Amino acid sequence: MTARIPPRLASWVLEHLGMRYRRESLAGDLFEEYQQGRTNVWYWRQVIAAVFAAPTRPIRTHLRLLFLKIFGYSLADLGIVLLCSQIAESEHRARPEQYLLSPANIAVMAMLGLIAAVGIGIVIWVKRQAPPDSPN
Amino acid sequence: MTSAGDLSLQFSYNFIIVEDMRKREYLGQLEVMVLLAVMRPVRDAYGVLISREIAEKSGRDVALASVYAALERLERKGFVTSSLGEPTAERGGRARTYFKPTAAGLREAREAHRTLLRLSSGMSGLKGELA
Repeated sequence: MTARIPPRLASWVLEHLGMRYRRESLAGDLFEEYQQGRTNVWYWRQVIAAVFAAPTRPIRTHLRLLFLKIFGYSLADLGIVLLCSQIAESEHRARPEQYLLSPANIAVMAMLGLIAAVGIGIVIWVKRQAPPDSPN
Repeated sequence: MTSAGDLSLQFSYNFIIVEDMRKREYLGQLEVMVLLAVMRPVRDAYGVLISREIAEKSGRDVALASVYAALERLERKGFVTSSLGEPTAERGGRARTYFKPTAAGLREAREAHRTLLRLSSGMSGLKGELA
């Protein structure tokens, strides 16, 4: 027998905005009940309850972390793209090595590298924000 | 007439009660229901079973997330412990979390039960409802 697939958007909301405490088990419980013939409306109601019944992580914390994650990714992306374009720029110069090793270029590349590192650092920090008492 | 000694004694008594309330973790109605449901099943209790137990015995359909929120509070207070089972295909590859009451949880449930019995004893209105 093939399993019924619960609404994908609802599952995404549960995974990203639902309560942290035992989230995998809660998702499994909802899946199990859904297989017993529960409706999509029931599933959505349960997911919405999971978003608002999150005592360890209120919705504003979710949104703050989501914003920080997007900001971190954007910063890392911007730093890496500009760094690559700076290196590519040197190929158009008459003396690429000299351009690359010039103090001004090294300073610019170091700054871009720092921006990318800060972005990656923010993303890693956000990913480590799981409360210690919520293993899944 | 109340003497100064009586007033002082009354004040101390009230102070002790307030101190006791501060120390003790009082359970909400849903927490009591969830704790009792965790104590009840013969098999290991997990989210679906606990939720069904509450729905069956209280006639209320409680959201699974609310049950988990109550379980989280109970676990933080040391009244239940949890352990992760094996992932199964029937749950989309996700594991169950099993809950067990601790000795403190059993004590708390007994105390809550006793308090309710004491508070409701001799209430004719309640007897009328039950009859």
